[in-house]
Amino acid sequence: MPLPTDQTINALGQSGYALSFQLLGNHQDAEDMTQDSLNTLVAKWDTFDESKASVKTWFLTIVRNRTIDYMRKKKPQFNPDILDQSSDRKAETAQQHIEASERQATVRDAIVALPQDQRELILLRDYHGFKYAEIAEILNVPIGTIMSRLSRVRKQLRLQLLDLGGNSR
Amino acid sequence: MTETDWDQLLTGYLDNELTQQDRQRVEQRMINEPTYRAQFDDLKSLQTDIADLDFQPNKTTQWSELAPDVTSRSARSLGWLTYIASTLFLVGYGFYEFIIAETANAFVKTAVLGILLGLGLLLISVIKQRLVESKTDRYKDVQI
Repeated sequence: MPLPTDQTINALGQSGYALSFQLLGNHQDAEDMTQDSLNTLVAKWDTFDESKASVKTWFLTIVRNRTIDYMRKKKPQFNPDILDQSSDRKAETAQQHIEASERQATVRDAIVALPQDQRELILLRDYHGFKYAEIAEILNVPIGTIMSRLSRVRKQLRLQLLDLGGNSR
Repeated sequence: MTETDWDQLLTGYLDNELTQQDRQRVEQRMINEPTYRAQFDDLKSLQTDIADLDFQPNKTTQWSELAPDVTSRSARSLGWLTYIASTLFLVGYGFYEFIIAETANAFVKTAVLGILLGLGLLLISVIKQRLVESKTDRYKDVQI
């Protein structure tokens, strides 16, 4: 099977970088993890089985495992300011823009405050848009546990945001 | 069903991961219980907010330029192989010539032999240590 096109590799790189960055909170480390993972993807391309997982799922599994491995060994400090609010969010008025920014900031802070395993779970689903089967593949956990774990994280986030008044639209 | 079960169903409904039967159960409960519907709206809103999160910009966008291609990977492997094989051949040949040469005395030959033997033992110890570490590495099961 031929290697992915440059366009695909660029898209994979961006997704991998985003995931690693969300876990590490450090640009340079996330770039290193992504580049290492791309090297691994190319080196192990012959072993990739497209009947088992998509390229994106496979690649993000590589990125995630490499990042977790790095975190265990180096124990880098997580930067709580990693997630920036979206700049292209549509807002009709200045007031709406302010409210949207505040809400985003509240959500961002709540996400950042989550333990690593919960943060990666909710971001894989809601930010990266993976299906439960793909998340189970990436995290190497039974698919049956994904819904219950997600439910707990969302419940916790919802209550946290309700307390802060940050989820009222 | 417990409230926890209903919470999980709501999450599955939000993510479009339920069976048709469970979807209907959730929809029916949302009709009957406004608080359950409000809970869904909150989760939906939360999901949208998370999807809208952005990051500080990353300057590296051309990842394809950083990824090694097959040609360079093969060339690198071949380069290492050629380099190691040639070096071993030269060292072996040089050592053989040195041993059979009549100009060097036995004392020097023994010293050179000792140096090579020492280097060989050091190499073996390093390889052995690496092998032991690879077998006892806590992270060896991490899939890549």
